[in-house]
Amino acid sequence: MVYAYYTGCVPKQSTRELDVSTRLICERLGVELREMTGAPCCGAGDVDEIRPRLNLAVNAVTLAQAERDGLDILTICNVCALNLRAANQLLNDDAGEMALANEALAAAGYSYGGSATVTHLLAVLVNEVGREALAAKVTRALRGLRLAPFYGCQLLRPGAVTGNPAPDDPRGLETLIEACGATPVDHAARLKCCGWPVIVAREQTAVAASGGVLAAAIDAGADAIVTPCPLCHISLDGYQQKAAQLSGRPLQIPVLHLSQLIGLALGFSPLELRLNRHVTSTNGLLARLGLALT
Amino acid sequence: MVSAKLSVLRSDPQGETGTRWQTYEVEMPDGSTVLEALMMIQDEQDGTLAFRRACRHAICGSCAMRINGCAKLACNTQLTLVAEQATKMATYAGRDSDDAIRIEPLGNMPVVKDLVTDMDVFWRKLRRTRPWLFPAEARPDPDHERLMSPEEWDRMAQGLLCLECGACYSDCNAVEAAPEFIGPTALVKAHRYATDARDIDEHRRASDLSGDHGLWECMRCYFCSERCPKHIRVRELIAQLGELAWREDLRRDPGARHAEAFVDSLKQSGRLNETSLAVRSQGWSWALRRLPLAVRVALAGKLTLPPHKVDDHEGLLRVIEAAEHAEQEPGRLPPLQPRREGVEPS
Repeated sequence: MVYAYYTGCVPKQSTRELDVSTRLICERLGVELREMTGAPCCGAGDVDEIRPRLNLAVNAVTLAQAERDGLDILTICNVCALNLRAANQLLNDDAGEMALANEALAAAGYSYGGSATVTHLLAVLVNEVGREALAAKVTRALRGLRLAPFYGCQLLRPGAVTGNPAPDDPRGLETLIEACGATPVDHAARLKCCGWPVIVAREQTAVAASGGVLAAAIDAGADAIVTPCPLCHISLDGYQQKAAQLSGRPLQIPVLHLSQLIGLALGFSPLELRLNRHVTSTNGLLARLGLALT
Repeated sequence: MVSAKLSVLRSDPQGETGTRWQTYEVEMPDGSTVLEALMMIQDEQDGTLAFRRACRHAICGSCAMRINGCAKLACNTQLTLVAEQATKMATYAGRDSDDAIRIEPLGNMPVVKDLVTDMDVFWRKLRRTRPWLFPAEARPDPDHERLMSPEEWDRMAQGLLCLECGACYSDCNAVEAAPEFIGPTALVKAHRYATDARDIDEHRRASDLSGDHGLWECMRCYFCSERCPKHIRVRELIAQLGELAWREDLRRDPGARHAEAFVDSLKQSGRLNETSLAVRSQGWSWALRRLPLAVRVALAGKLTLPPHKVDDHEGLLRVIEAAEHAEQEPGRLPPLQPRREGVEPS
């Protein structure tokens, strides 16, 4: 299993713990990551909103690089996954757009034929590594932990672009939580929105959404939330105090990146997984596993 | 025959019974829809069950409701499919004995009774988009039709399919978080008129949608696109309204500036500069008022230096320049077409 590793921008900056922990678990699980150091930002849907043609050309650069290297793209961010997939689908479906994008690509000596594919860490863990192989490598079963899966919108919807056959009934996170020895907790917000896309432009709207997610997970009795998306992580972890202020109730719950969950079960230390780089403390959660951030 | 259990969320806000789940068991011919099951229940088991319906073939948009938690038209939802889904969901949730199909009224609206919702706010939001034509001629020539090219038709064709059933609005997470948000249905309606080649009011339309609870409040949860019974790519149409606003030079909203910040970042390094994103979108005074948050984030080690440039950033700049050049060429670059999938009747 070799992938063109597209980290996206945020895991190189505020959620660096996601990049670090992804590399650790992938090495342990035999997934080789070749970082796409020349791949630009996916535009996060923002560039698409004001400059759709520019957005297509920029994402075509990433797709062209992966095609040139003959590798599938592995993303660790829902928004990167959707934007690369949407651009790829549009380019493949519309010969005119493909020709225009290739004209722009030619300025830097790239060309794109349409053969790149885009996947996400969650899908690779579930479908390529597989539950059994993962469970066989677990050295620290997370028994007793009740974890609330939170998928994030853009890995699921729109199904016509994400290719997810069951965007209203996904089970991937639950499968992985179980493989790690923990218990998935069903909750009302597991498929809902964290509000991140408007967290700067419409902070109160975003925080109302993220507060709803935190409340649902807490009310379902979860010890922590697990998410496969760094932007959901920012919303849910970083803005927790604001969400509590807005909703007028205490909302405190640790939020794990998917890669940190897997990393804990594979025996990596909390510091190796950078569980200290969270706004909401993970100390209480780690104490339940007999671990500490030292 | 199909046997199914339907658990309906019943309520009568004016009455004394409050809100409760009531389960009905039905035996229906193969191929029956959820609406047919509800009609059978109303006819033969419980005449007090209230729901809306009219055409029974997915064109009037009356019978939208939440089925197993997802807003759908009851008339084009097969009973067997949602019965299977209900069984699967019950197994996941560890409540095998309770595997009835769950039927609830649409979300984001008050309930009048049972599955009938009060859509008043929904209609008022639609009306705010002024869903009628503003043609160039004050008094169109009555002897001639106003012709439209196939390309012009394609631009607005998706929006025309909208039934105004409210499924997208029901499950819109932004409406839930901000009830004043104009919502996806009104934005589809606005798109349909703003892209009509006979309409000359697109600047004012885009301007009207650029306010506090307008198009930039969309959270991109994509429930709208997922739920639309006509497969309209709702979120893509909303994005096209954003592009229209930007082209019309309506760029002051923090949402528009947020989008511009991404373009700037691409040019500066090829990667998003997280630290400058907030300042670029909202300005320094806004950012300074969020100092406590910044301190919490910094203490967690999350404030970082600007990102390194991507390899061959020079090449990326050449691609961007070529794309910008192409964007400016007249006649060659109409707005992106909505994907055609939704244009076919479903």
